[in-house]
Amino acid sequence: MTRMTESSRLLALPRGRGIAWTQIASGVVLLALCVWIIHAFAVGQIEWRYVGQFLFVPSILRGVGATLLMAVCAMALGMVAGIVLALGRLSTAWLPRIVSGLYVWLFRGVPVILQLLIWFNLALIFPHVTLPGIGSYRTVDLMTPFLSALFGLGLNQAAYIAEIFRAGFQSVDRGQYEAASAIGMTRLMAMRRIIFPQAFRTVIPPLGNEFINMIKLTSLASLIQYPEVLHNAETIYYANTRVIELLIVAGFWYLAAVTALSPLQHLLERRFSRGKSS
Amino acid sequence: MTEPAIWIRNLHKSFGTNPVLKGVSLDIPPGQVVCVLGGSGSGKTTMLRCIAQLETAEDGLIVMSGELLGLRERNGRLVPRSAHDIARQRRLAGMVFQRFNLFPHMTALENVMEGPVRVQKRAAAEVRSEALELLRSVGLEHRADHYPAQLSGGQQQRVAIARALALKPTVMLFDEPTSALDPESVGDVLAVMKSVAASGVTMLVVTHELSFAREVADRILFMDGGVILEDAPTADFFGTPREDRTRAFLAAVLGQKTTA
Repeated sequence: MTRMTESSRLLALPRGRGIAWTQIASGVVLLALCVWIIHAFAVGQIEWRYVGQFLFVPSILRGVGATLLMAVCAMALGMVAGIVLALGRLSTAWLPRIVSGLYVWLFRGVPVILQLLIWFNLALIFPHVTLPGIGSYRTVDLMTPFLSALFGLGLNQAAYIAEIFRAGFQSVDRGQYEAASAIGMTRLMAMRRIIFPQAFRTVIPPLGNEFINMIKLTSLASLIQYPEVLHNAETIYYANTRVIELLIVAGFWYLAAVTALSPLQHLLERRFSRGKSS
Repeated sequence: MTEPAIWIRNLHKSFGTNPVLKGVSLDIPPGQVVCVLGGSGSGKTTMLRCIAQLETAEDGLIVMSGELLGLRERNGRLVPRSAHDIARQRRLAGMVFQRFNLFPHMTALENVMEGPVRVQKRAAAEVRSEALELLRSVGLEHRADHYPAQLSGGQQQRVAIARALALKPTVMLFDEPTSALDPESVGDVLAVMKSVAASGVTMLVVTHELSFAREVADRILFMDGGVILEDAPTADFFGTPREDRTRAFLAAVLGQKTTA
């Protein structure tokens, strides 16, 4: 009986909050770390006025433009080639399967920087390129930094995108192909109208990741004289020795580009999630 | 005699080394409603999928509405048709799947309109009113703008039937259309199928719904081990089954029903 009244007494008590001591402790530690780093940058050998001064100079802005142009072009090339490779990988015929498999193996297995250098120095293997009906050219003249970077980055990217799309296509139920066939669609139309839109749902988040990676990867093209933002920042600091300041300028623009991308990805995800149960 | 809606001779199909159809022959006159019964692995679904050209038979011929399916004559030989031609032939029959297979990124209305608009290239406005009429006939005009994920299984299957009918096929093929449904929605789907049967479309229905078969079918096929073991008018099939295997099957299925 006393037990019962004792328990009933508890009913009247108000609810309080627990205190998350672990979170508070780790928060304090993290905050201290941030303050220390910011302090280090603030009092260190960084002339912040130079950062502000160079943030919008024409050469840097041209570099940002070149970075974005390369990222978009290389990604587009990677998408087209990647989708073709994914279709080849899933083909019922053995030849496209093997070719796609070999491609992915090769391009994923060799460092990107090495691929860029090979494209840039292609003239050493093929001194001349003959385009039927157009003429013969020296490879050195054809393989500009832009084209070398585009092939190097885009064709490497294709190997990764192929794997992403392969998973995307495989995530679509077999019954969808059959239903599309049953209403008289050709394979191509079924792909375009039924399979692609559904595969896109699963593919957009990893593709967004790849695009963000691509924006940063373009910095490698500075090594083959492509005038992207890091390359131009370097050119400036070779002259004025403000190394850290100009690296911060370049870093700011990469961050800005990547940040601007997230809402875009969100929009695409929304567009393609039509009909998804939620 | 009128030309049969479906004419099948000596159909053979195996998966790997496992023979599933071992010589199926069949004539179905236009407008007839035929139910196909049989245990799992009897080949009934495979036969239906061969008619829908979702599977390719190794041997045997199928003629539907006067067209030889999948093959054509050239220099005294039968050679495979082009992929494009086969795609066109698949429209001769409407197919309803066990698992509905609606396009999840399209609304019910868009699912129904997809075939006529994209495949037959008909004007969207005209197709739309037909599609709405079809959805009304399956009792779902108020769900036209819903996506499949927002519909129950029975509603999805009724949309799938409307989608198949939208192409105005001469033959409708149903592959266990109620097997994936909860018991409450089975009745709605069967009612829609009854009205389709009444409209005069030739129907071939693979099913386990004996009461539906008894009520709606003109004729029953019983398949076992890759052949049609018994083929009889509905009343005869249920009244005086000839084969032992048929009787055993009916006893097992009906027994199960009464104890359930």
